[in-house]
Amino acid sequence: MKESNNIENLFKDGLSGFESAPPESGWAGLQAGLNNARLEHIAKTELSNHKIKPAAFLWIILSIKLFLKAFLHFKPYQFNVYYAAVATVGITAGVIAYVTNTKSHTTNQQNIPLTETIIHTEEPNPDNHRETPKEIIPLEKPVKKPVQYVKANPIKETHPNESINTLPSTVNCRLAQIVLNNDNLTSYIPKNDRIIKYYEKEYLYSVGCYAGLMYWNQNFKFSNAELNNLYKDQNNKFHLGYRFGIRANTMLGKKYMLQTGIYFANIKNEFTYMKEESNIPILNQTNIVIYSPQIYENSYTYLEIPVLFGLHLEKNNFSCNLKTGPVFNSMVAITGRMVLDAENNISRLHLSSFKQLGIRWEISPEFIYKFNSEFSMFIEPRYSHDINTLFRKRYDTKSRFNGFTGAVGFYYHF
Amino acid sequence: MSDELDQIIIGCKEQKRKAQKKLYNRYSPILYGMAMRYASCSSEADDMLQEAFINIFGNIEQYKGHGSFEGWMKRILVNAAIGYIRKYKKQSNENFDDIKETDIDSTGFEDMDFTKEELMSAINELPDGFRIVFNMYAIEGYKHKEIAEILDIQIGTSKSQYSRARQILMQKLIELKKVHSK
Repeated sequence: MKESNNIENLFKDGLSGFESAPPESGWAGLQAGLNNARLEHIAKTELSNHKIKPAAFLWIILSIKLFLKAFLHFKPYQFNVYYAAVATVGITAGVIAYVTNTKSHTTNQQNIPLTETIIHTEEPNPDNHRETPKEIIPLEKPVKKPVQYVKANPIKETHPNESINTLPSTVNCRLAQIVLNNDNLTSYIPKNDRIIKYYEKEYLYSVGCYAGLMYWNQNFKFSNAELNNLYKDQNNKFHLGYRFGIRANTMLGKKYMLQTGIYFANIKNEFTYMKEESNIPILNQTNIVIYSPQIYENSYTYLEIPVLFGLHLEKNNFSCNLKTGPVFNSMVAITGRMVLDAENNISRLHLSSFKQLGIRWEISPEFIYKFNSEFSMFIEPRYSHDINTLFRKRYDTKSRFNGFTGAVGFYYHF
Repeated sequence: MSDELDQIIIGCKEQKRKAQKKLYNRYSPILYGMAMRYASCSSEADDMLQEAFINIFGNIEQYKGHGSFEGWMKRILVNAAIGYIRKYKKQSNENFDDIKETDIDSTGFEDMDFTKEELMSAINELPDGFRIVFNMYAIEGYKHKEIAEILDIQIGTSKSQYSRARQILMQKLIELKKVHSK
């Protein structure tokens, strides 16, 4: 114990007055430590409750998202105004369709529907204008889908077209030949017969799908005129995109049609900008610093709702819709990448939602070939022109897309 | 908690749009200020803010009135920001290994006043990982252990990223100071 105390005293006495110069980097290290503390203090005091008012349109976008979210998350035990609205629209459309359909078939209709098929027992004789004896017999075989016949105008005894008169004299065959020869339907008309409806253009609706490629050009500019002079696009060219979607047509009378649908479109582009002067401008609003050269790649994704009005032309199995109208679009995503300098040491990847609503105007002839009364295919070239610019006041850049789409698709008529 | 805020929260729990808008108007500036710190540009901050508010309105029933409502919303925003960066920014380049202590000018800047915009710009230019850790540790007050758990990284990684973020920030601020002194 005593020896231990001696050792402690030895160190205590020997080192009590010991001084040593700190290393030369000591003060720098302390300074760095003070800086760290200062930095944390500044960051915490200045930024912890820093307020920035977001752009006004953010609430609009948020409202749309909340609307969609509420719409999609239907709770059966809660009244949902959106589903009620859809149900109302659906019921209204159904009623209108039913009334329209009924009205078109009650013209010339008498109140006594016949449930028998009427078959000529003799071949019509063009030289004999007397009434042909007829026999009413019950249906030989029940058809899969019962067909009701309504009495229209009295049957013509003979038909001016010889070929008709030589046909087998069943009602369906006769009707088919009558309509093929573009005659008036003056015989017994099967109710809701597709062939009759088709040739009378009573088929009001068609739905279809389509897909195609787009060939776009982007007119890209900086909002600041000085920057436009400073940077020159070295690589502005047409770019390919694609588009697909579903669409629905309705006839407005016999000559006009209306088309709408939901399309998904994706456009890609790439720019290479070279700066012509040595100074480096800073785009303050977006915190984007542009060095030279700048390679700018973007991919824009849209949802589109067209409202196209068209003129309907038809001959035999071919028809054409000459359409034009606005396409309302919502840009749902931007995927962007900016390589800001030759060393590639800064790159950015953006993805945004519901950034901007826009309108483009489109002109499109649509060429349709009908396989039968239900199915048809179409091919359409389409020219689109953006009415509004892509980035408005929020960004320092603005652009407008113009381009062509070539698409093919199918329709189902009903 | 004020009665007005209570009413707003009750309205939001009933998914009333007017109450949601009131809440948005009241808290969006401070949350957007936070989002700007986690984002590298305003468009990212827009998305983070929207995501945060959708989560706030979607989960507001889980808020039982214990603790600060503002703090609860801030945590949601931090989570939204982290989720956003994880989801969309995996390609970001964070190769800053070549920065060493010796590169940092040891000149002090305690006598300098930086504007909030300058500080914000300096933070925005940090790589994503560094920016998140710096924000969480230096400004929000999370511990490294908490950060490691939230981000699913090692505590050591959190510390080293914070250290490097601090170095880069100091370098940027010192450069700013030189610009000021000119």
